[in-house]
Amino acid sequence: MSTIDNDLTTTSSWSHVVLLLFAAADCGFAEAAGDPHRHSTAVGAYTTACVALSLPPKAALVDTAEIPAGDMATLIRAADQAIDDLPEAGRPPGAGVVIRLVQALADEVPR
Amino acid sequence: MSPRDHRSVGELLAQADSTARQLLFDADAGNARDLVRGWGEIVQAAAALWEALPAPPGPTDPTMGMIEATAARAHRAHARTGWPGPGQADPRQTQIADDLTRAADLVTRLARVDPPLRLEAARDVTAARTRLIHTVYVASHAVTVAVGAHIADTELLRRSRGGSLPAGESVAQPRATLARVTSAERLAGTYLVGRWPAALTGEHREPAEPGRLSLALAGWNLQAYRTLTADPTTGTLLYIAHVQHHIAITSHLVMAGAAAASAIDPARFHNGHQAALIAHEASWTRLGSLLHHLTAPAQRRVDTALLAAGHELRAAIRDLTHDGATPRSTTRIGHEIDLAAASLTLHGAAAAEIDLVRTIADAVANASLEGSARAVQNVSARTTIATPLQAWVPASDLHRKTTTPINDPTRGILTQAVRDVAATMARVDSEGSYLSVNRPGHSSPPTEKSSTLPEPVKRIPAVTVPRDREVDLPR
Repeated sequence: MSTIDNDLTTTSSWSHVVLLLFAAADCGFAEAAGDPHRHSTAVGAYTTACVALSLPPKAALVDTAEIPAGDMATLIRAADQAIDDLPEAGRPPGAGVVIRLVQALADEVPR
Repeated sequence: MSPRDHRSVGELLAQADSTARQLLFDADAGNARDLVRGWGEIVQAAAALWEALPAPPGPTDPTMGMIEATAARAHRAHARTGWPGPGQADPRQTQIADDLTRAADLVTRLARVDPPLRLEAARDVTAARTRLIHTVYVASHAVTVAVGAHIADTELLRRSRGGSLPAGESVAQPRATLARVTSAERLAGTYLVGRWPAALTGEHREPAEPGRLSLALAGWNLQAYRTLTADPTTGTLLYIAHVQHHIAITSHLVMAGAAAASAIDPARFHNGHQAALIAHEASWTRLGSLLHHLTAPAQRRVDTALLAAGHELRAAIRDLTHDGATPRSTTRIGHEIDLAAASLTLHGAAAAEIDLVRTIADAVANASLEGSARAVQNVSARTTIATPLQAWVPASDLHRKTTTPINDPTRGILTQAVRDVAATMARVDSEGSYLSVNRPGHSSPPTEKSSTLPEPVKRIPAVTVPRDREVDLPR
């Protein structure tokens, strides 16, 4: 298990979603060097990651799963899938906003 | 005393619509009660404006009357049942209601139109009604999303407590509210079918909603200043750097399209201005990259108001640069938006960055600024070649992967990166000054020739919004 913050209490699954979105944003910022239009989706992924990170419990960020290799589109779809795989009880209060934002991002990237 | 509001009816409507969109950003169980409390106020103000607008020829459309009646029934039910209970409305809803009330007041006081309306005026009124209903539609949708989430949470709570709920909690009342607001949302949605956004083409404004972009830029600039002043963390700085980089990239894309379409002077663009834009993009990349290394994912929490402002700005920019999921080509963009106006708006945003960059410099100079211990050690070791093995950070901080105060070598690198942003921004401002020449109604924004950071100022930044578009931004 990789520990990113020592005050860790939240479910690792939600943390995985957060880290997937940050990874997607990082990829998108890099890809924007070749295609500037991708910067928009990267900013969207970064914003969504920050919103997901702001949900309670706020003091934790732990990930038990590896972040897969891939481009921004792959990682956004992985985040979308990771949310789908979460049971209702495993989602923090307020997760609905993140779900809608991730679905909108998934619509922005090519399949 | 609040400053005098110089906005037109169209601008008030555009602002109300934009604020309604912001409600969607964080509509959730946590603010369901607040949103329910403020919904009726919006409908009431919208109905007053609907009534004040000149009547179109033919039978009166009953949509707003039906929505108002639904809201009145919901209000009576809330008074009778005690849900959502006493408390505040969401302040953005109050802002929407205030803007609509102000618009109704303007129409009532200033409109001196005897029917029949001229064709242009009739189209403008139709566009105003369409935008008004769209505002109600979006604001209602935010309420249904939030109340739906509240019901789901309450159901979960009931199951976890073996079927009972704490005193004051109910599922029945939120469900009744949800049904009423959903009904109003459907009424508004039905009205908009075939009208939104088609009817807006008659609106007395420039195409492709340039107003949305300038409002979003102004809102972003002001919120970035506020958040950075209150919460000067590397997480906040990193988010601002990403969004500012996005503005820089967009400016280059839009202005390149404008030059290709000869909407701006191609020679001036290619002879200096474009190079300045590229250098400015690169300076934000460098600052963002440095902050990225200094800010571990767990430290990337950002004030929700700043996230909402960034979200709205991204959406406003996508209105220009994308058609749904597809980027607009340089050729198409010229047919679909006023490139000269968009270029000028984005150029004005660069001028408004001056105060924001000053505030970023203040934040970097702040002694309490912290960064990832490992990154601070790495940056310090790289910049002090004479003593690369020196321990700049306590070993315990490195081991625990915690944060540590930004030290002098790291602060020096950050400060230089901020100075680079200031210098390239001044160059963009100077090279792009030709954009505001011969544009009636636009004065040239103040230029900053110095490449060094000016003295920090402790004031609200000057947002470059023309006087007739001054806005009282939601807080």
